[in-house]
Amino acid sequence: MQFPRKFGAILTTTILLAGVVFWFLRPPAPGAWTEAEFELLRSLWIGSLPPLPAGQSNAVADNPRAARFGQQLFFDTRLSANGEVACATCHQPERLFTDGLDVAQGVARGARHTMGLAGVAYSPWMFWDGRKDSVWSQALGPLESPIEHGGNRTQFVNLLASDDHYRTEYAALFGDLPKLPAQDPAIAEVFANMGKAIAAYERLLLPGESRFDRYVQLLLERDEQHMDSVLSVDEVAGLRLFIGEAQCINCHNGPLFTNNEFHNTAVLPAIGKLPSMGRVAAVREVRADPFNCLGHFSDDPHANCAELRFARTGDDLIGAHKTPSLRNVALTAPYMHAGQMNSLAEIIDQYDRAPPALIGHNEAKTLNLSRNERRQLETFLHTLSAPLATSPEWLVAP
Amino acid sequence: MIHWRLYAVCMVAGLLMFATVGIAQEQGAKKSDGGMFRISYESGLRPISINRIHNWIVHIETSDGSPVADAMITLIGGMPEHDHGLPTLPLATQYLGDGDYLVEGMKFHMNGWWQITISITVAGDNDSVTFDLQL
Repeated sequence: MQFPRKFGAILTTTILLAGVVFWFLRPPAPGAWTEAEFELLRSLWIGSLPPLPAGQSNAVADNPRAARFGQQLFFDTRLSANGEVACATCHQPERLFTDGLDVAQGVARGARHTMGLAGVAYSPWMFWDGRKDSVWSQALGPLESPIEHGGNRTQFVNLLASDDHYRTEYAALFGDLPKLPAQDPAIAEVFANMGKAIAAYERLLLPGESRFDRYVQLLLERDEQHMDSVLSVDEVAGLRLFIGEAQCINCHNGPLFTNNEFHNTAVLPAIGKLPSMGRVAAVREVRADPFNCLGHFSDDPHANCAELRFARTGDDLIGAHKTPSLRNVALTAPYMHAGQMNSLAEIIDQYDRAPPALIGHNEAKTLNLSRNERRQLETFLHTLSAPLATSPEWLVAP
Repeated sequence: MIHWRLYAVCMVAGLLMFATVGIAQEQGAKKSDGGMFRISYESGLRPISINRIHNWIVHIETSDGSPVADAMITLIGGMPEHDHGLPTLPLATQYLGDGDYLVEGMKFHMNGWWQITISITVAGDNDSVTFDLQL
């Protein structure tokens, strides 16, 4: 009877192999992470943050004197129509460079929620729709927006010329101011340089080490004993959901917890407002912007500008907005591009249900998390809070 | 007797498939859908990682192995599970010779399953190929 013996041997081998496979694919024990999860955690860890990308189109990006000059401009309310609005009016250092409002309040009420600035220099795109491709170019937008600073470049150049300190600083960094009155492009050149100084300042605003980061640091050191004292069981469970079942990491990836790209997740517009077209409308705008990476005011005519040259638009970007960083998310309510949501629980509920989008389509899929899982996820998000890793002298008006 | 061996091989292969998570990144040459070309790519960023814009070199040869020059290439990609495309619109910007084309502007912004479809037009004839990538 050869048949049954062979059959038996094959069956035994099969069962053994199944056992081995099951062993390797078994669900992880509480507190333990699989190799794949370990790599994901490392990818989110602040220690994985690479050096700042080169300033490319901004020659003074890493110039400390420019950063000081930029800090002064950042806090100067004279750069506005009514003498009351500075960059710091909405980007308040004590609020992690946000303002706690649903939408920005400049010389008038704006339409967009103020984003935090920590790690901003890592992003290839600025604003919720990415209509600017560098920090220096972004800084120019609000200055001339009729609802934000409400000023204009001629007014700003006149201010620099009339302020002895500014005139000296400007000359030291960029050469003498043009003889006034002047016109574009001389005026635009000065205006662009103001943006470059502000950008040099904003490059210094970097996120600090949170409890989550300390946990990962200990995990990398295989220090299990202390790991458990850094995050609670629920926080770890929330983290596991974040990188797994809840799929948050799909877009909130990398050490800044953002891919700096654009997604439609069916967030409703603010009450009484039309839905925002988001990214799909902004690509044309950034390509036509005279202050973009390929424009006349770029400091590097040989800059690759790949992000701008290969920027894509398409129907899948209708209603898509930029993924915000989640570092300090628990301290920077409200949320979303128009401040439509007030709590983390509300956001988690949105992603759990994944409703159809009003315009375009929702990329997210229904999660069906339990009430406890939603709570754990929220608990985890609180572990991302930390003071900025920026010297205190940069976090106050000069 | 031989079919028992076959059974065992199939069983082990099946188990190994279970053990393999996702789809491996296809590096080797692949035949186009209509059989006109063999296409392969080489990423300038290895391993391919998210959130970094980079270049690919796409190699095109005929089914008998002769390099194809003068091809017009378009490259689109996306994530079938999320119904969205690449964040960029990569373009073939230069013919490097020997069937190699420089494609600039490749970028992936999420981990997971991606599909990249390369369409090739030579002298009015079209064919395309789709590569699967697991990042």
